[in-house]
Order: sequence, then C-alpha cells, then structure tokens
Amino acid sequence: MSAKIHMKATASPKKQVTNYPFSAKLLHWASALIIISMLFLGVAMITSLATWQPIALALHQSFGIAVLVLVVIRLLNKLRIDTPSLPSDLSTAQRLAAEGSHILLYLAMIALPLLGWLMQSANGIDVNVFGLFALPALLGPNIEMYGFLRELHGLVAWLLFALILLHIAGALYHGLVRGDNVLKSMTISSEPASKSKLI
Amino acid sequence: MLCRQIHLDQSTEAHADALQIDLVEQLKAGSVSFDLIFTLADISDNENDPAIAWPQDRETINAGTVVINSSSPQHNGACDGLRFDPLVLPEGIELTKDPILNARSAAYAESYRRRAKESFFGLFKQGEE
Repeated sequence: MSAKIHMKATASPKKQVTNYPFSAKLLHWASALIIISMLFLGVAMITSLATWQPIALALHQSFGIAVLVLVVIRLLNKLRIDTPSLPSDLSTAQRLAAEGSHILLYLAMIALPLLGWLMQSANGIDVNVFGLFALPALLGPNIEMYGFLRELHGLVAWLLFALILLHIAGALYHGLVRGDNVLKSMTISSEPASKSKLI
Repeated sequence: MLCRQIHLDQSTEAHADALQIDLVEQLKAGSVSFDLIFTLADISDNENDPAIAWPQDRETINAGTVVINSSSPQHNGACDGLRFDPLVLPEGIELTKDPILNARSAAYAESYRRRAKESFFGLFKQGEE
C-alpha cells in the first residue's frame, strides 16, 4: 500500500486522495438521478399520447438544460479538486477503458442537451426552462435539419444509456469483484472525517 | 372551427385527396371563403369531452372570414415543413381540459418527426437519382 502511494505521489503533482470531495459526489449523484430519469421520461413521452405528454416534454426540456449546466459546473469543479487515482495494479486496457468511458460520458452529457436545444430550434419551438425564460433559437426552422438532429438526439440518448450501463458495471466490478477503493471513492468514504476534505 | 358546406360529387368522393381536389377545382372559379364561427357554450355544455355534441341552438358569432385566392402543390410548398399543433395558440384563446388536444399535439409531433426523417434521408436519395 505504501509503495503504491509513493508511486502515485511521484507521478502526479496533485495531492493524493482516496475519496472524491462532497462537491463532486453531490454533482455526480444529482446528475445521475436527473439523467437516468430523463432517459426513461424521454423514451416514455415520445411513445405516449397521454394528457401528461406536453408536461413531460416541458420537464424534459427544463431538466435537459439543467444537465448541461451541471456538466459545466462539474468540469469546472474537476479542475479545482483533487481526484483519486485508479488503482495502480490495473492493466493498461482497463485503465484506457475507464478513462475512455469517462470522456465519452462527458461528451454524451454535453452533446445530448445541446442536440435537444438545436433540434427544437430547427423544429421552430422555443426551449423554455422551468417556465422562467426561453432560450434563444440556435437555428432557423428547417425540416431536414430537424430530421437529422432529432434522429441524432435519439441515437446519442441510447449511446448514453449504454455508457451508463457500462459505467455501473465497471463500478460494481471494482466494488464487488476487485474489492478496491474505486466504488467507495464516489459513495461512502472509509476515511475518517478529519482526513477527508469535505468540500 | 372553420365551417363550410362542402358538396362533393361522386367522382371525387372516394379519393383520398377529395377535399384538396375539390378546393383546387373551386378556386378555378374564384376565391373560396371560410367563416370563422365561434359557438358559445351554455353552462350545461361539456367543453372537455368532444364526443358529446352540443345542442344545435347555441348562440354563434361570426368572428371573421378567411379568404383563399390561390393554391399551390403541397410538396415543397409554403406549408411543407409545418405542422398545426392545437397547443400553440394566440393570446386570448385558451385550452380546455379536452384530452384530445394534448393527444393530437403528441401525435402530430410524432408524424412530424417521421416526415422530418424522410425529408432528411430524401436529401441523399435526390442526389443518387
């Protein structure tokens, strides 16, 4: 254990931590809750003619923009905080899979709400955020452009869903199979409160 | 709420585009006018269930006239790429709790999505031909 810590300490100028700070956990779990709800709401609302469909659409648009804002805050927060390193005994392939899937997750979380905003602009509909204000249209109404963006929005949604399943599978693999600190670092801290940086 | 007596002759009645063919025919003889009729509900009328007809003797107001002077083919026409969503209303007109209005909006959104998808992929098919 001490050898690993020593290796990491020389490899990175950042402070070695074993746990994500509270701010990162809050942003991660809030995003997770919203995104997973949104994926299911999205699929449900486009296959329904129920009277709640327009309300679902309004919520979907509002929370979609909330996800975009959360992702920007998360990326800014990531620059500020010390994040735990992956276990040093991971193979190169596993390390690449972990880092690659995180990059893809961020790209999908940015692309999906942006595509939603773009497609509604091409659809000639204003994106209203929680009834507070409407976002400016990014494009003029155009049926072919809407056709392209609408299909892409659906495709990226399925891609994000697949990435989330991989993300969960990876986290459970670390927590249940390998029994290392990766899952704990984003859930329950094993560190004493005095050592763990709270914010 | 656009009301007009349409008399179809036998030759156009069975055709899927009967109303369109009829309108184009009538425009050859001059402009076609539609009255915008508001029917005022009585307190006893159900405004949320379109399956229940109101009595014929309700007061009506002629709110204006829509005059059509000419027509053009729908494909690549001025209305192509548009849809008529019953939830998009001008100021002063509000929805009832009629569930059909919400269902129509959702159904039109889905049909518009399919039309948009076809239009997008049509761009490539045109190039091949």
